[in-house]
Amino acid sequence: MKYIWLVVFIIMFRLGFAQNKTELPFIEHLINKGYYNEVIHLIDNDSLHYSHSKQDSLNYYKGWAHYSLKNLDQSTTSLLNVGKESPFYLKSRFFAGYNQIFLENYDDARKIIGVMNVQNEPIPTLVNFELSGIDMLQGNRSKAKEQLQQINPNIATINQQVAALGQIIKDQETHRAKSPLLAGVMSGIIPGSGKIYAGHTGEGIASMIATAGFGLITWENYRKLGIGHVKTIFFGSIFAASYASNIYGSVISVKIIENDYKDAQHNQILFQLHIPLRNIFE
Amino acid sequence: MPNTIKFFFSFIFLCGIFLSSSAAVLKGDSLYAAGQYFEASIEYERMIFNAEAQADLYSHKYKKALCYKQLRNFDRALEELQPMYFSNADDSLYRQVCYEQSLCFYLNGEPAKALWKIDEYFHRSDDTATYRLFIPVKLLCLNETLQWNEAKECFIGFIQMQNFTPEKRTEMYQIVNTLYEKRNLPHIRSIKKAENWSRFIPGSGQIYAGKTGEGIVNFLINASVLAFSAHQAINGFYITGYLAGLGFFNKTYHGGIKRSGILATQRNKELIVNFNGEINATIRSNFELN
Repeated sequence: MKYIWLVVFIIMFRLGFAQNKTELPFIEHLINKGYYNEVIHLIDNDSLHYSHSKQDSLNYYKGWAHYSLKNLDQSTTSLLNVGKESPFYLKSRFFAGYNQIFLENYDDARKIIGVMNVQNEPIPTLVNFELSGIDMLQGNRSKAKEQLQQINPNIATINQQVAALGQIIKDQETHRAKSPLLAGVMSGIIPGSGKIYAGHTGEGIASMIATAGFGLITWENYRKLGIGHVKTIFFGSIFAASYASNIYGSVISVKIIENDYKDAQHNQILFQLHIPLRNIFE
Repeated sequence: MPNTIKFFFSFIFLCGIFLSSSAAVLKGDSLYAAGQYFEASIEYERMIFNAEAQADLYSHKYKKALCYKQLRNFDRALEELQPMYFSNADDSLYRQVCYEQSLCFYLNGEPAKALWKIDEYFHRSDDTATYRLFIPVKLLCLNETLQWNEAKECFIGFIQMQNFTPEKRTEMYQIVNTLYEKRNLPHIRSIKKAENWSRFIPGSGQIYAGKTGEGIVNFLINASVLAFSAHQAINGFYITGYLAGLGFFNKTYHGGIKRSGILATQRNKELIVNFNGEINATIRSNFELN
């Protein structure tokens, strides 16, 4: 009888402390409240031993905390440690892939997303969608277009984004890139006109007035004092510098405009790739 | 098995459960005492997560806010303190929460909000003995918002709340009167005035804002550019005089006006910080704050 009571006592005692044996509900609470640094600290300093499934959840939470803090490399490492049996597996895999897309490690992203062998919709469609996005980001427009056309049109959570990627491809195909060389030549003939061509009208007019002003000052000093006078040389140098820098500025303006266009397209693709992930997994 | 043993086992079991929750609170407190504020904030959040009673929840939130205050994260401290509502204004926790809220507002550079919080406490609580806790913060906030007369009255009221000897009290009154004498108050520069000075005499706004050297340099630059412009025009170099001279003068002149406004703002901040530093030192060396 004495021993039975002892066993009962031990069982009850263990039950009493059971809530402290796992951190998972608390970690989930921290994630929901947006305390990501706290989550990472807790998981990194946790000395408890968890079962496989709980370890998977911990890896997922850590990866998600890093993802939310934009530590994408650490996020990928943790998310890839989530096992196949975990309910977080698919989400972890896709977000790890997305992290790599964001970091422009396209081959790694392709490996992470491409190896998922899941037949149930919408996962295969989502895989194709993400892969076509990677192709677009790598500049393989025709391959991306083909892949987008093969996407199952009955998946409502993705349809809008497929259309949006299609529109981006169309925009890219019809986009006429501005020539830095032409901008430079234009500014060489009429200072500031290269910037107007690049789309910076106000800046172009301001450069035109400034260069013309320095030109007039140089001309006045040249006419009254001659070419060898220090004032003519001084203002002439400023005029020459202004003229040359205006040509250089026009070339750079066109390059900046083209880079801005590419960045906008890049961000738009990333944005579209992200939407279905949030729609499907949250 | 005798009843005493059964009772003994049940007692240990219940104690175990109770101790596990109080152990967590102790863990938070000991981490806080050891200066590990981030770790302590996590333990208090755990207590918030497990709390069942409203009073416990508020107490843990308050302690968590203290951790954030120590971490200089006043926004997060205020986030913890703001949503608490107390129906009983004489609750000691209400007093502590109001105090920390006003202090965090002040430290976060929001003295008007701190004053509003202190006034709310004074309005709601009848326990006038607790007001003295708030006076130093109120005093600093009134100084920061340039309410000198109110600040002086507040300081005198604070002295009256202390158990000073008559001699000490007289000495403190003298100190306060000296501190708040017009000639000892921070000479706050008007930003508008600084800009207008620079508008009429370039560089004078900087001198008014306390930067004499910079003002002189600015004046000389403007004068030189203007002189160059006039010299060119007189000698028949109209385009050079107009475009190079006046064009450059336009930049230095307007830049100087803007700069004098910035300098006046910076100077005002410095003066208030120094003045509040003096007040702080006076309070620390003469008053018992606990």
